[in-house]
Amino acid sequence: MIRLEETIDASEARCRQLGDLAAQATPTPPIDPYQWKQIENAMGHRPSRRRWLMLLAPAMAATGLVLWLQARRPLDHTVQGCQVAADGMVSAPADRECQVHFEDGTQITLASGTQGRINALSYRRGATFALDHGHVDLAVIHRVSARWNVAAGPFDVRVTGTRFSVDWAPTSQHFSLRVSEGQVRVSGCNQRPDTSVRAGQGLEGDAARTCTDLEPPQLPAVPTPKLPVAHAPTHEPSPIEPAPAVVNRGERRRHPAGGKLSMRSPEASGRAERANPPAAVPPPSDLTERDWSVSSGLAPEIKPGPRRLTVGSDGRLIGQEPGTLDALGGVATKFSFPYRPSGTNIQVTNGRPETPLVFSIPSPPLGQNLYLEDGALCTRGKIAALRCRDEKIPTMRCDYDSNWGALIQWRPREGRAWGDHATSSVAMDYRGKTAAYRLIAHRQGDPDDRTYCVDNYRSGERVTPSHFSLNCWAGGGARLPDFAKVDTFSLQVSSLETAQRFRFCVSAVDLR
Amino acid sequence: MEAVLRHMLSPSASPPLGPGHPGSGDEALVVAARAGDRRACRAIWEKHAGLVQRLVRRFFGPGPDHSDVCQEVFLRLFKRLSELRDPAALPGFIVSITLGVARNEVRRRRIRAIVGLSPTDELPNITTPALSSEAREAVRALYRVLDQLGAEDRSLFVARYVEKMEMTEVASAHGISLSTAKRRIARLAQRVEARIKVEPALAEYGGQLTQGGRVD
Repeated sequence: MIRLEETIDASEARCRQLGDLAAQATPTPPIDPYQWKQIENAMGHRPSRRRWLMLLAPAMAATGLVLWLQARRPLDHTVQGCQVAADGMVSAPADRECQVHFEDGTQITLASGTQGRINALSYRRGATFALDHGHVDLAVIHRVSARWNVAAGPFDVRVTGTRFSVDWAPTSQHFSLRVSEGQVRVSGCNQRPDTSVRAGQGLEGDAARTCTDLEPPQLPAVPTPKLPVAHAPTHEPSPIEPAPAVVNRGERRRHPAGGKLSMRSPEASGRAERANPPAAVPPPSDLTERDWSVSSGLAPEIKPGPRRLTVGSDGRLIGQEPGTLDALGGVATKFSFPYRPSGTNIQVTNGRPETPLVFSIPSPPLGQNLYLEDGALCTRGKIAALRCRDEKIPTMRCDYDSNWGALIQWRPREGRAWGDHATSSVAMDYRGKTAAYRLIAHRQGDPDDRTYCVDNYRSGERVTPSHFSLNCWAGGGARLPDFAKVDTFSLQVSSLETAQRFRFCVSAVDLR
Repeated sequence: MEAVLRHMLSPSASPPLGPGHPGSGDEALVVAARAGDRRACRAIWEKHAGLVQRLVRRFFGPGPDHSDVCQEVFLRLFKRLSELRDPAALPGFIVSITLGVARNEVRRRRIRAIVGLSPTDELPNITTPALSSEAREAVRALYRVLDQLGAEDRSLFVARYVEKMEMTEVASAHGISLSTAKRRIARLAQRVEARIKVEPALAEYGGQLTQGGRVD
């Protein structure tokens, strides 16, 4: 694992030495008795502020009230082409769409015949649009404090700065969501309590609240709503580069250290990716290259087919070129298995044949330290506490190198580089005990302790190479250039200063 | 009470050694000062002025005295004595006020410098005889580096590395949690090291620093 401790130790040592130097240069000066005279005089002659405050109090109170009321008010909005009923229902005519424009530049476009209600939030934070039926497109202007929701039946879509569209048909209870820029979170799906949907992705829900992902080729080009001039996009996607969505990598990067969010502009994102233009691969014939890049949010150089690997009943991964899974642990990590009477029973003699020991272990072809449970490959056990010294310095020296925790590792090509089979993004579905999970990628040829990671990785979260960095816990470090040289992906639970039990399962690997 | 004050006001009373120094008599002095006894205020000043002056000096660097800043510290202290729940924690309370006043002063000076109301701060020649010329130049360079930091970072650096405060004391003096203090200081140390590399005086002095060289 990365030896960040050594880098931080060197900085700490240098600062201490500089501090010593500064301390030598600034000994305690002698006290000047005259200073007390000055302080005493100042204590006696400080003008009383009380009288001035009493005079100004009424005016200040009135001003404060006005300001408070102003701050509390919701966002103003205007409608263009929509009909607004007395009960607040906003409707688009049967033959054309209409728009609702908010003062911060956010725009909601209602397709013909669509109806819904606007509930604006106080303090100008945003609004909830309750979609009664029909289709809406939203272009939400990103603001740090913004809160926007679209409620459609039992489904709720939360956004902070995105473009997306929602369809809701109350008679059939059919829900669909398509995101063209940014990211939204959706609740209401039975099997996914809180799902993140990113640019280029989509989701469908039915009457049973079962949600399925929409595959990229099925995504139609999302019509671009007309934004106010001040917020018109300044960057047009070219056919070669990926769709320049305002990728909320800043949101992804909110690591426990509370580091600053870094939002990358579409221009910056494009420059970083243009530096190493990948070879173009022809898109599917039913879509033009531009349609493909706009609708899917992915570069046209898609490798052999998106695919989803799941766990079969025999414990193997199934799917096109599935690879293998294993669970590994650091020193002092102990794996355990639930008792499974159906597992292979073996007899082990301890030197006394009359008292054999019987164990139950998982049968092959399960990977090392894995067991099958409810369609997932699971691992469990206990991670020993880190042993640290020098607790008084900001960063302690701990035995993380050897006691790094536990992980489930996926080898796409049995330890070889992923190569031409690599896709542009990966997502791993997992479940388990509450812990800080990290997704790690290792490149063939790199030392074992040189890995790229995504900190606080959430189940099902789709990530691209640029989401991985060498020092992901500190929000920095070199980025992973691509997946072609990656030979393993791992889902890790790291060791902590206290011992911890772990139990987590991987149910699918989604590749696009 | 009178006996305590007479003792505190005697010429033999010496300034405290620094934060954490067992403030014998602090509790009595605080109680008296809260009651408006000016002699108690003076006793507090006599006992802790050295600490304040040293901390202010380390914050801004050696050179001109910052008596106005020190004065402001004590004025605020006497005003806010009622907020001190534990009179025995007076030294820590004073440290917290001192760093706060110093941070405000840095911010104020920066604004005044930007709008041209004050010259930019530059340390005058350091006259500490115990330091070699290289060391003195390194100190000037260090304070140039600290000038580039925000007021909060400067305060953390001075508290932790110059004044050698324990992490818990640093956190308490800045009104932040221990974990936040550790995190900020770790990041601060890396930032300072990065800036050190572009300061020739510190880069040259760095050989002695990394080898634990003695300051002549």
